[in-house]
Amino acid sequence: MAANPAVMDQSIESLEKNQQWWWVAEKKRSRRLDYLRKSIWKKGAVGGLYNPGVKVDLEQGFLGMEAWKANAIFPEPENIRLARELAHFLDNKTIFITDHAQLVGYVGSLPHTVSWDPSLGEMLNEEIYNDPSAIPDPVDENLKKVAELCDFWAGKTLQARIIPAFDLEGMMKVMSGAIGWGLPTSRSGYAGKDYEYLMTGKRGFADILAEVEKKLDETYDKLHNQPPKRDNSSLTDKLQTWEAMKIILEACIRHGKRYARLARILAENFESDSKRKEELVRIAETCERVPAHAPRNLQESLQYDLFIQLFSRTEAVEGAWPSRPDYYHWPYYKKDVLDEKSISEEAAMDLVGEFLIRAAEVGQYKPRWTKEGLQGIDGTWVWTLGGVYPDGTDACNDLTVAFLRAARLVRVANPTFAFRWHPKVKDEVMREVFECIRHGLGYPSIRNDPLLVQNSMHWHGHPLEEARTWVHQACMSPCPTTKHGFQPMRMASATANCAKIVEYVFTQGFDKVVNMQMTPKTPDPRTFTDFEQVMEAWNVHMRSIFGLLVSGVNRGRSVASRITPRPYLSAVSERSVESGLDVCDPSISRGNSWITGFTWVENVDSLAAVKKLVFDEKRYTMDELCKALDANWEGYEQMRLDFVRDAPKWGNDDDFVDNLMVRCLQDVAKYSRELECPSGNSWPLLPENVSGNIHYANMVGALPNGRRLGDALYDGGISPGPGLDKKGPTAVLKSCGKIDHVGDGRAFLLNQRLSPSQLAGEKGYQLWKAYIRTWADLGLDHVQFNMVSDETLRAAQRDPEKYQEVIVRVAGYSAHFVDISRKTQDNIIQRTIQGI
Amino acid sequence: MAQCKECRNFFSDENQPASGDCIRKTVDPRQAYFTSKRMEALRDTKDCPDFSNKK
Repeated sequence: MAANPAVMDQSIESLEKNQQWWWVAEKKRSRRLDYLRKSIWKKGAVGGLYNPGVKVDLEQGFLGMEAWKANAIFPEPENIRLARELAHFLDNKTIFITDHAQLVGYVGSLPHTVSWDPSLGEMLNEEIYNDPSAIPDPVDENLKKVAELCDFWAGKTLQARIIPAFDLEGMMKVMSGAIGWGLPTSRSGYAGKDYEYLMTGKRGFADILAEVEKKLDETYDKLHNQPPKRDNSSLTDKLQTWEAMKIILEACIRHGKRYARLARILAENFESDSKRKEELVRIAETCERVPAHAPRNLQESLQYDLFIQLFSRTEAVEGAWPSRPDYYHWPYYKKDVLDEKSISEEAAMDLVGEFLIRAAEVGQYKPRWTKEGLQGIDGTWVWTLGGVYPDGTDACNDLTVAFLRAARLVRVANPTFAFRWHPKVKDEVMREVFECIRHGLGYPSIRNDPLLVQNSMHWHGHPLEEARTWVHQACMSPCPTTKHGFQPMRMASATANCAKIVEYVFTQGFDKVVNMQMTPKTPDPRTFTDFEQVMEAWNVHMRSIFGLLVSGVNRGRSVASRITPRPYLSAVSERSVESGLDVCDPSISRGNSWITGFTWVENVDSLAAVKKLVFDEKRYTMDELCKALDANWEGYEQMRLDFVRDAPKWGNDDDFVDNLMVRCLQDVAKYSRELECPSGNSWPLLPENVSGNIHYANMVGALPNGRRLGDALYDGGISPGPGLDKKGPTAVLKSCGKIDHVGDGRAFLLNQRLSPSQLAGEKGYQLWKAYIRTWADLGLDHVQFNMVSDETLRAAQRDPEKYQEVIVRVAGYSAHFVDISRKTQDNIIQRTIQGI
Repeated sequence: MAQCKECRNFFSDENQPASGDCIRKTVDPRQAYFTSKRMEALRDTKDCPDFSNKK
């Protein structure tokens, strides 16, 4: 983004007074951070397409093909085959070092590419073939290469191997896109990490390799040199799992050393500036050290973390980035900046800011439904800050503050932060959190730490000390970072388009958009004489949809270690290294499942409208309502407006509708306890949306809350519908406070929009602090804020080039305003600005 | 017939004498960066538009 010269002539104080935080950031950040920030090729899609210039990377496909052909001569088990394929890729892919960078590593071969592994699925491959904007230049020549890769991998992909393992009827319903999304595989989703094993300074990859080699020697001896026992068959499987781990760990170490070699060559042959030479030598030393060995300083620690994530993204398409950077990198920050003073705070800020930038630039080609559901970003990377130590003491530190300040300087939309609030957080930290929100980042979201620790213990039985290690596995759900507590793969397919539940009450389970009997045929709603009959039908459809999605994911998890193993993720997970079982094996995991509930509040507002206008006031009959819904409200505008205006809406502290919310959630919670994951744990609901409210707009039919097919749905979680919360922010909190945020579900997303002018200065901070106290006292688990004026957003719509770094909170994530569709932009502008 | 090992962009790998790295500088619309690609030392350069003889 080239700065407007007229703006850049203004002082920082003047820009701050006008709350033009994106220009303030540009003036305040170091020259290095400014260069690196502007160097990012944004990898989020808008309208389903990537930005001009962003191209799909072909290297992984061709190198993967080479490895496959080599393996075909002497076929090996899938985990070993995959490990060799990944090793061949890491050994031979193009790598690069950006000018002024101190951290290295990327998923693709060049900065403007999005990575593509054609071994994952034919559906994804066909999308790429039909996306000419993403084909590298020269397009004609490279389209032939894409075709060659698609043809080679057809029938060999993970999708081809796993789909026959599923119930066909269930799979077709999921793949219709009406009730959920995604394919339940372990190489596409959100991978947690065993950070307590990896990131506490006790080991690097070479140390894990030594453990694996010891296991290989012991097991080989048992298998070959001792009398066979009845578990010998499993010994062969374990040998293969450890062998695969060995292959990939060695490749990862070699890959680090490739960067070391490149950095040294540049320092010795290409760089004339002495300062940059020193930096390149430091990069070389860093990459010679990590990932092979445990880090010794902040640069090594951040580089190690980056490598861990990039290798995981080489093995799978990952839609999340669970991380607790201020906690795990703190010992190194403390040592370097505070104790030994080997680097200054400013130098540390450059490293921390660059770490955010390296994460922001990651891009993997995503299928259409992801690009539309996560507009403007590559995945929901919610980094967890703050919280407590396992003993319950405050874990906030100077690095917590450094990350918050770095975020205000580099203004990336992804990663975003979520702050684990607890009553003992120091005021200075809360002020830094507030400054990020005031600067319009849309993050951190605020999480109620004591409550969510209880929630983790309640639903999944995590012991207290393990529950306290939690990070966001995706945008909202806590997950421990411990040996048995972390979840290796959260498959996105357990994501429900909940508005369909109430829609199916009126269509008797038939989906009119995709023309399919989706759930059991409930009685004709025209025959209902009592609201309880409506609720009975609602429960039937709720159980059917959730049960279907959970069945699919359970099946995906059960077959994962056999059909879609994760040799790398297993190699960095203590329970797998110890047991010789793939990390996805449910027998070694406690389980941490949840059902994401998109488009949830539509149910409650619709049910409230039916109860009031049909059964209580008898203003309309069910027959009239059914006719109006069948007609998509066309010709029934006055009736539609009655259902919009005269029925109580969620978020106004009105027991009529709030009691229905609690009732629906408790019905789901009851069912959640009947559901079981393959580890034997439960499946609580988590209402939130990402940009599913836009993605599903043309999927959800007319509803009794007055919505028509095609209208944007509500923005998610337990947020009131845009403009429908009319009684102020305390009323919203009071409504939300009626929910039991421990027992009624996993977590509950709440979007709130605040006024930038009201929250200026010290008075604004005190107002916000009081709001957070009320939020905590009412027992809510989550809240996140947009603090950008309508004026700025409308200006950004008119002149997007000047507002590239304006950020908004979409739902479970933030995005640059100019990177989301017009419909989503308008939806955000419609959200009520709460005066507190 | 020229080979990669004769190119000034090629840096041989003493640990793997048959291979090395082809190092190139690129400036794209957003950033400048150096790339490294593994190459066989004896690879024919006839199709490489960027070959530049060391001598």
